[in-house]
Amino acid sequence: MQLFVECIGVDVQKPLRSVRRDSVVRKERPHDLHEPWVTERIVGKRAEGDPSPRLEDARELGQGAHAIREEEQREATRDDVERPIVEGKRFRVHDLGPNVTKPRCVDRGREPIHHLGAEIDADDTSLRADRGCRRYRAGAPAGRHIEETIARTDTGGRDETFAEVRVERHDLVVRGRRLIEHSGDARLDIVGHQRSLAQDVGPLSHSPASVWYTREIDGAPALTDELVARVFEISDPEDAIEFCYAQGWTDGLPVVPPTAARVREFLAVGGRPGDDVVLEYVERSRTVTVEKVAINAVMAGCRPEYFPVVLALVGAMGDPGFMPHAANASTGGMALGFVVNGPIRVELGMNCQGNVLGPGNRANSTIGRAVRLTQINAMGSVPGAGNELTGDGPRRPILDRSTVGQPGKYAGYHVPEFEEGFPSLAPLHVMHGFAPEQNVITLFSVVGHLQISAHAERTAEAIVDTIAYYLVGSGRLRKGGECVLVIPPENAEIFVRDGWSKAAIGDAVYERTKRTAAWVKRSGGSTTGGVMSARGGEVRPEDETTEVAIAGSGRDVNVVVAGGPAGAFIYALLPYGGGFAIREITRP
Amino acid sequence: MGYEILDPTVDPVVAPGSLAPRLTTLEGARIGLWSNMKINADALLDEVEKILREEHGIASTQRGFYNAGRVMRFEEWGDIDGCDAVILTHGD
Repeated sequence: MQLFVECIGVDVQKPLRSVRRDSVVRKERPHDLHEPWVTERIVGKRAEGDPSPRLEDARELGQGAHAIREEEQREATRDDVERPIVEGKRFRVHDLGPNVTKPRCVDRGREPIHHLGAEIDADDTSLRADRGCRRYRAGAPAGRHIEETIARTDTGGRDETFAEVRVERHDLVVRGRRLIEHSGDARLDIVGHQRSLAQDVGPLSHSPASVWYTREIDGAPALTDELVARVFEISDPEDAIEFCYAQGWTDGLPVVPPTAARVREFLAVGGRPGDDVVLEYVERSRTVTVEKVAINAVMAGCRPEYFPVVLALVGAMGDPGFMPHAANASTGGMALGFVVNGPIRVELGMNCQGNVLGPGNRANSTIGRAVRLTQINAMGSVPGAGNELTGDGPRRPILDRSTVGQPGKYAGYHVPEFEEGFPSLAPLHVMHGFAPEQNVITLFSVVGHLQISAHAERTAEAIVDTIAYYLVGSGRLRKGGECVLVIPPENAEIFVRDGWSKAAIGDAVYERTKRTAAWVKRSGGSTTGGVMSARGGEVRPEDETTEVAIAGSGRDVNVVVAGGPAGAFIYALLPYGGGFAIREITRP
Repeated sequence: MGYEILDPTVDPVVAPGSLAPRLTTLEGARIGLWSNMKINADALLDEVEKILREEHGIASTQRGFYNAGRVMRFEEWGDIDGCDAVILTHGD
């Protein structure tokens, strides 16, 4: 499959204007997402062998995108490539046609350079690293494959016209004025371009890794690495933390001031353009972009390498079956929980042993906190029902109406799994069909946790009996849903010794927590947690055959091995019913 | 030069809409009473229905439930189209 990306819409960059207010100079930038900037939008996928784009498959990025002009459509169709697709990881510059002007790139007012896809004459030596930005652009004489060009040139050096480039994504076609076909995502290509140059041919570029946005400047498409978020200038850096408090941007704890430099580091690791959409929060009409998640991840204290995990978690909130609005607004005050599987746990230094749920580990804590800050700031889940007249920040609408809240809302219930401890207990992501080497997050909503002491239990049977006993007494039996059991090593050893698999544990817990709705009511309980029906309500005939349990099935009891080496404290992360999502973590 | 920090918030972008036409009278109207399924929502709607019948002469009511945790699909609203006006109630 191939993707098309079109340049659409036009606007002219407006000059910055400043408003001084106390010690803060607020710069109004026209880069808000809903401003009608040129954006690249994926307009369709082309099946193999089908030369025509399918515009009806368009997916809009951000707000305010203009409709594609008919003439651009005609031009794009005319320039459609029927040449065979080059497999592998190379660039190819197509013949752009007579009506295409040579685009230019403006980098912060420095000398313009040509960007990807420029129409190049055979003897054109203008495609070289600009003195200022020191970025290379690969090109080739129109109609010729870059492999030929590379064969004749040496890589490296500022005066070289061509350089080998490798990218690692699917084919992509950029339509309109910049018609490029290459083996790679256009956005990743721009970032990966620089990185891959460094990998393949040495450090050709010394500029910091950048993520590029498409803008139209002075009537021509151009690339810029300017971020779109509003900028606040603090006269004294010492005031930055207090300023964030004053704006209401925190969870009550101090945050790391999000500077552009810090945010760019994150964007470079994330490998996606800053205006890429992570989540469409339709209930509150908010589009959460990569850039906004990066800003909140900086504030949370994340390191850049944590960012792909944060992106996966925020993105998973938009997956079918997960209800982000319930997570953001409910009076029930759910926290988010997440399991991390795969080699990335070790690479990032995540803690899956003692105090896995905290405190103490930077990756565990800040990744979860980044998601919460994204909820507060980017999704508008501002907490404080009843406190509208007090608090640190300006009067933003209170969406998080949680009655009491909970400590888990600071950093979530973060559970990197201790995969190395007990190989016979398959990691959670493998249970859900992923390969062991894949990096995966599992996201769920948590109403709270129940600590279950299983110190006296010497067999697997005895352990699940005890787990079921406490779960039945939790008042959380219902139809459907999931729950998560965190099993520490001391108990996991017994399961392994007795030959139990995770599936067997899940099935046993499910079966031993199964009751009829009639039983629950006669016992004085409620099958809705007391929210939609009072305890001990009238027993109806259908209640005698309606079954409830701690989860919808044995498969919905998600067993995760984590925790320190001593102590038989099993943690049940009790479900809220707000959904469940599993997603692979992607990295460039 | 000062210290520049970026705004982590996102402003909502809401498409302009319009209010449904107002009823000039409730006399003879069919009123939808939709609950978010919480206990106290039903109790409130019972009281509202009583007042509407006794003091405003409505003809009938239609009960329903909605999920406040997500945007409902159109077909999930059931017979709401048959109502002249609808009251949504959050029972928390």
